[in-house]
Amino acid sequence: MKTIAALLMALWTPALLADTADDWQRQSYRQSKRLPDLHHAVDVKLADGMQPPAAFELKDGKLSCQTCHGLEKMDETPYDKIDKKAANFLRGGPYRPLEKFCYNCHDKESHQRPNVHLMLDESGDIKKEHCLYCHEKVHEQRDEPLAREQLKLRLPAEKLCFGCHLKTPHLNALEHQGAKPKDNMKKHMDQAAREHGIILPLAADGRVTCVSCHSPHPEGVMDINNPAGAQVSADVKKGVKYQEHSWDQVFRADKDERLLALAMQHGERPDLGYRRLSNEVLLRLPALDGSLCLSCHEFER
Amino acid sequence: MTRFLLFLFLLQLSLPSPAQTIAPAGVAMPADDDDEKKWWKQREKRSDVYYPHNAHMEVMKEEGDSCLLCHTFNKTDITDSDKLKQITVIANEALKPICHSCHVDEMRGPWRCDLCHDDKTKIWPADHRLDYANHHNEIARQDDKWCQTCHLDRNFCTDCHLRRDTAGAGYHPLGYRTLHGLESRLDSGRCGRCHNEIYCSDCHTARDR
Repeated sequence: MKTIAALLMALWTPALLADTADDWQRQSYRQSKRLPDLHHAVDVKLADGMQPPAAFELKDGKLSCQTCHGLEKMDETPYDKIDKKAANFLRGGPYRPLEKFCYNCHDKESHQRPNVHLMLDESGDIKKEHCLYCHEKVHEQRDEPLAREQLKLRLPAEKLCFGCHLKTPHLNALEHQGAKPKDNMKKHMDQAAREHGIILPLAADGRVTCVSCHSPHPEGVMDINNPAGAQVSADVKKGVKYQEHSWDQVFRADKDERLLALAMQHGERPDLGYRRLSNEVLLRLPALDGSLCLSCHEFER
Repeated sequence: MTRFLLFLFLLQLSLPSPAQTIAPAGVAMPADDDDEKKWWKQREKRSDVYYPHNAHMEVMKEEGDSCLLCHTFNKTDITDSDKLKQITVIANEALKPICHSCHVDEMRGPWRCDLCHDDKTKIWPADHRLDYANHHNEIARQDDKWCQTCHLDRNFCTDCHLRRDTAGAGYHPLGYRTLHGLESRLDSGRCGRCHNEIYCSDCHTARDR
């Protein structure tokens, strides 16, 4: 009997705790005085010299819910009843990427995260502080081959990029992340890596990860003849660039029906157009001519 | 009776067991492998379109296009992984206008439909399903351009209509061979809609004309 009671308690307690933890979501800000995670502070005065757009109303000179949110009686609405998909959920929205919203008040130049992949200064010297975003220590001998554990990465390689980047940065990323190449593909990868003088590193458990295709260091940090430093010559400052293409219209027409079905399912129509890649960066081999893809993939016919 | 039983026995041997499945013509049988469940493996088994990757490698490089032509790696701000997986499948689907721009519109690639579409019933219009071969003349006379959207090769018509080893049932009435000279002089352009000069010179020498 005691065992059953204990078992029931064990099963019920987490549910009870979870219930309590989510209780505040059924209340409004006015009731709970609690803000969601990673939320901007409210009831604070603006910094001197900050000029928000006219539509961003202040309450007694301070930030309130209505300053940023365009929905009626935001602070009186329970959190689980707030329509986060409404265009005016954030004033002037929707914003993609989200940080565009921040630049309504905050200066873009001084608040942007540094591009840690830009590792060389104007004189070609290494920016050591950028190394330390990912490594626990700066490796002075940059071309010295290091074993995985000697890299002293702050997180396992397969998780490291997600500190700044989304897990879903581009289409087909999810299809690659976590995939485990079979022996015949590995053999093909080894052959391609030797042929092109590159590395195609996998995670410790043998799975594909961002750095399997992407080089985290820009050209010049390592010797270009070092397989770990070999990569597509590209302007990292410029970033990934696309060019519009005349096929966009036929592409959209072709996908229209299926995207509509998806919109019925998810309540939001995704935008899927056709553009051509024009500037590829931080890739171990070019994707534009297919050589990066073909270093892993091969076809019977 | 013995023969009949023997026939039944042999027939039974030739039929697949219930556990077996027959793949459509030109389709590889799936191996017993997790990989076979992947969408791209399923695509390779489609019978409505066939895309030999290796055959396209060189031309894709020449064109300045590559795998990204169909398999886009464009940036996305969608973070819902379930939704993104569905969208990626849609994005990776072969796009008819892309294939047809080379193979049909510009005819720079092989333009026989059955090279890529080994099951014509998957791609032909609905009206082709019911004895269309015997009822196509009305539409063909009204709008032969419409026929040419798929039937790019005039041989498709002339293989039946202009055979010389059959007695008629073609485009021209019986005995037309003896009468065609007059019409060809009156309106040679009309003949040129189906025939080229080689067709004439098969019988006529340059001196005759």
